[in-house]
Amino acid sequence: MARPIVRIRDLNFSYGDTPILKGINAEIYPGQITVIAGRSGCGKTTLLRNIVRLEIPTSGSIELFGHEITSYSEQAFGEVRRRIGMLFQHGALLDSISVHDNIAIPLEQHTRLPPRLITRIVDTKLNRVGLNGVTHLFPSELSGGMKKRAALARAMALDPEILFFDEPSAGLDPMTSKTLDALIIGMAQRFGITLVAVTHELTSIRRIADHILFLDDGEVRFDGTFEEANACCDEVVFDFFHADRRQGLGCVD
Amino acid sequence: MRLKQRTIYLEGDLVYDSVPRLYAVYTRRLRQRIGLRRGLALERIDIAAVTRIDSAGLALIDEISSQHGTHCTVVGGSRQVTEAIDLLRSDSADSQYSLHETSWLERLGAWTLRLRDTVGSATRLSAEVFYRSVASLFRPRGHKRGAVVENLRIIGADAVGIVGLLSLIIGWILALQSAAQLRQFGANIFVADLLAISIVREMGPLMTAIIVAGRSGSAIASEIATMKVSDELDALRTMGIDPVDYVVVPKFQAMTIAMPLLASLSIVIGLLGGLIISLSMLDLTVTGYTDRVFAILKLSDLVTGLSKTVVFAWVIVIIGSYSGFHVSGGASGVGRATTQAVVASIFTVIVVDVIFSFTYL
Ligand SMILES: Nc1ncnc2c1ncn2[C@@H]1O[C@H](COP(=O)(O)OP(=O)(O)OP(=O)(O)O)[C@@H](O)[C@H]1O
Ligand SMILES: [Mg+2]
Repeated sequence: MARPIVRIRDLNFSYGDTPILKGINAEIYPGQITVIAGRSGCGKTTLLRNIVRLEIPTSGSIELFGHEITSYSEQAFGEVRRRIGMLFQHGALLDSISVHDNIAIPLEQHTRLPPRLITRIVDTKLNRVGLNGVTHLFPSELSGGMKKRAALARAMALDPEILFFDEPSAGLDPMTSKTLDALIIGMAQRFGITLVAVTHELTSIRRIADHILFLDDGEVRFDGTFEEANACCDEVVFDFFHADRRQGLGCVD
Repeated sequence: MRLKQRTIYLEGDLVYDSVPRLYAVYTRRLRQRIGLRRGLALERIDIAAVTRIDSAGLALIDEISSQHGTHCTVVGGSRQVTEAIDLLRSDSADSQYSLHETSWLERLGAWTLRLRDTVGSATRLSAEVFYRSVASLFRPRGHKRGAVVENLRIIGADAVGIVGLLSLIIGWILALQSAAQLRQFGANIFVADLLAISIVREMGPLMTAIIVAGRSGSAIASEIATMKVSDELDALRTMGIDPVDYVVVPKFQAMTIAMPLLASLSIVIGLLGGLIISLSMLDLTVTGYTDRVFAILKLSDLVTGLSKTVVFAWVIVIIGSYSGFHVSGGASGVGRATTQAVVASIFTVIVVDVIFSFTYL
């Protein structure tokens, strides 16, 4: 198999004295769609924040594109940051500027493109996520799902090699979330973009996941494909992947 | 990038790193050459030699072709590049949102309606705050226990230092300025009269109100605005708690008590500041100064001075909470609401002060 694009070794992380991530080991391979799943509060968002260096691990190592980023300064990480995109759980659009300007931020900061081309790229990206004609609105004038899509357009602005999604389909209707899943699959299959998505939605996991990392209380409880997860007899994993079935179904060994 | 017989040939990588330079070449050299030979419109953009393309490259192609009307077509393109373009360009099948332009007349109308709404809802809010503040004296409900005391500390006690310090300085300034004039007529002793009247009737109350507006008016506005943008107010409502009861009433009551007290403090310290200057620079005695002060002051001066501070207190709370409740937008909205609250309440305090001055000459 190809070299992993993200490699996590013995990662520990605490907020204050509370350990949140406890000895995580994982690898994420290029071109794949990796889903990080797990119960609410198990540390999925925290893991993503560590990978994109918004938090610094207490101990352990994280390699991104072969760079050991835990020891990088903020400046040295800048080069790497340009190659990754991140979609936050709550969108995190800047409220004081229009949708257009939000998406233009990374383009203005990281490239020397003239404004005309930036506007074109912004329009293409918005078109891509199905949001035409909102460029001059402010984030507070968008619905929850529209904000999510605008934030996705912003995350995609620089054509990143790896994209992190924190709950892409939360708060979206089934049709929109299906479109979004199709978009995710398209990006992975045809562009070779690596995607890492945190999600609880079983339907969505079933549709998109090449690879599943299941976290439980800060530890990796399961690492494998969807079929393997479905057949897995670990109690916690089983309960999660069969939560949409009726009660009373046990694991058939 | 080459131009040959109505065709632009693009080659190599069209990516974020190379496009800014290519676009510069296009605008500085090629566009001009195309423009010079009018009638020789660009017909094709040939991308056969393009190896890699990303969003920036696509934007470049679109931009160039859009500058040359509808006849310009994109040709060539390896399978990989064409596919990439398709993927970048494809829309997700979804509804489109349309915008509509507004004329100035429409905007003027909207502004007028907004002004009417503002006045209306500010009035309603004041009525509600008054009613609930009085009602809660008899039937306390809907706010945290101890909230009034807590607010008294934050609005009143915590402001003692700054109010005292500024009043002392203002006392000095007034004494120095007036002494410079009065000394010419050997009327040093009248410094006491002047200070007594101006500090008790104007400077004390007004200074205090301005400090409190800056400190607490802004705090009230930003607290309520933050609660509003994070849906906390709605959460209170769904729990059957009225936000006015819960947030505004304790502040209103605390402010009503704290403001006259702070103003009294300001008056005492301001006069003390005047006394210090009088003793050290004007050869007055302590008894001489205090005698004049008590002789010139009437009880009604003190009463009007302090009662207007109560009105100032109400102005500050109501404007602060109005700005908070009517915040729009997220984080930046909170900032705007706070600024607006401070500016509007200081303005209103001064206007109210003028009205008082005319009424009680
Ligand atoms: N800034 C913070 N300070 C302290 N503790 C935090 C902070 N952020 C998260 N936590 C704690 O870390 C744990 C994991 O949180 P995290 O946000 O990673 O969960 P999650 O798996 O993303 O959950 P969800 O699916 O609900 O988003 C939680 O117990 C939470 O209380
Ligand atoms: Mg989360």
